[in-house]
Amino acid sequence: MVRLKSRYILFEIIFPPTDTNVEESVSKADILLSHHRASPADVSIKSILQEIRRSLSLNLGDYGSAKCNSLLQLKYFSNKTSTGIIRCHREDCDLVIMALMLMSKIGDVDGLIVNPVKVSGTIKKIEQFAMRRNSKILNIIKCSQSSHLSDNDFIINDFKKIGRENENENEDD
Amino acid sequence: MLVDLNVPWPQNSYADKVTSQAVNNLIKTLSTLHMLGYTHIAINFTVNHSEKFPNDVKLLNPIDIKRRFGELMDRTGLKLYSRITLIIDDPSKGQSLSKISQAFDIVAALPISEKGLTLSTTNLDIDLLTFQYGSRLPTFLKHKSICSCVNRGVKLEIVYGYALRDVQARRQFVSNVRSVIRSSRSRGIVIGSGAMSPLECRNILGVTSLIKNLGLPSDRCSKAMGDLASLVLLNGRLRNKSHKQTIVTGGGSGDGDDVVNDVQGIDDVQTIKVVKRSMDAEQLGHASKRHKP
Repeated sequence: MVRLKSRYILFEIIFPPTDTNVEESVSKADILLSHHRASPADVSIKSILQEIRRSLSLNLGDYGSAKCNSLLQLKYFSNKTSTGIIRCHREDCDLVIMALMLMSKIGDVDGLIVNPVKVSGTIKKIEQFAMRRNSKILNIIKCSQSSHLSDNDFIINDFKKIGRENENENEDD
Repeated sequence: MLVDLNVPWPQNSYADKVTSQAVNNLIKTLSTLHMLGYTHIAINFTVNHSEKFPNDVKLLNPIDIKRRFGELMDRTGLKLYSRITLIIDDPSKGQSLSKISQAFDIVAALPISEKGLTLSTTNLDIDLLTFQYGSRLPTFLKHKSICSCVNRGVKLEIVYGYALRDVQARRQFVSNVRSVIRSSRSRGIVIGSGAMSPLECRNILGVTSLIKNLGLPSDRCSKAMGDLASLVLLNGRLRNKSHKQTIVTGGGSGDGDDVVNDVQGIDDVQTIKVVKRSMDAEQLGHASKRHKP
């Protein structure tokens, strides 16, 4: 008996600043800060899954969407950090990433990029990767902005929180 | 190293004015690309080949990277290059490329007629061949013409920005990419974004899975955004700054084997540096196969 093989996709939702009238500073930390935002309440597990299904059926038709739908779950999504983990079938992993890439909105929320970051075979490894990545991003922000940390305390706390949440999350494999 | 060879410059001819809003938008696009992990980006100025070019070499390049994007490059470590794309319709009206290629790092051709395609695959001294993926290709692409072009060292470009705009463009994009991959036998393909706004930028994982589903093997997908694309940059820069593409004088500040970066500081320091180029079979094309012992 062969066990069901699946893949986990770590993704993040990026909100690039689009207002062309405002000039923004271009240092590394500022770019990171301006792209990462907490996503609004409209973006929820349900609406993301709905949008993925819609994107799948729009781009891949009945065949592709039905193929991917057999094992498509959103394991985790945090509005504060706009990060999430999707579980999908090993064979259809590419199609799901392609659907994520071709998405341009979620529900009614516009102006975002869904950015697949990493694909892994177990949820444990992908959680570890997410934590390592977040602490790396944090370091960049901390290094350049140590003088006025208080402005960005909320983001740093959020990143810490996702680490803790991920640690607590049970592996349900 | 991740390379994006196509970020459009907001000007369609030399007569157009550049607004500060458009430049702001471009800077935002560049910073989004930087956040997604790109390290080398070429800004693409698309212009009609039959248009009147200014006589002064200094006016040929309107992008002015050092002044406009100097701060961005310093603070993020991004490397920016300039590229010109010539829309080739009627070859008889065009002019020689030697003067134009002095002002830009990369020269690309975008044929929109059958004659233009024949000219750009045979004679023209270019680094890149690109198409308008949003509309029908000018003609059926033949193995012979495209492969001979690739063997000459010219790379073919896929622009994924068209897949993100509207349904019609996406449909056309898929069929055009398929025929480009088929006609080149999936050799010598590079991928660029063509992002008009920050929302059209995607990272390597997404683009790879898109192009992989369109029929390009996945190892070539990642090469198309890394090694091969940096080779285009190197070729273009060596055209202006070397003697017969073999010897470069000047000192790069030692990144070791990173040849694209080594070419960076050519005019600044007055010492001689030998740049070794490693070559593998893919880059050489047929030449290596013929000379195998």
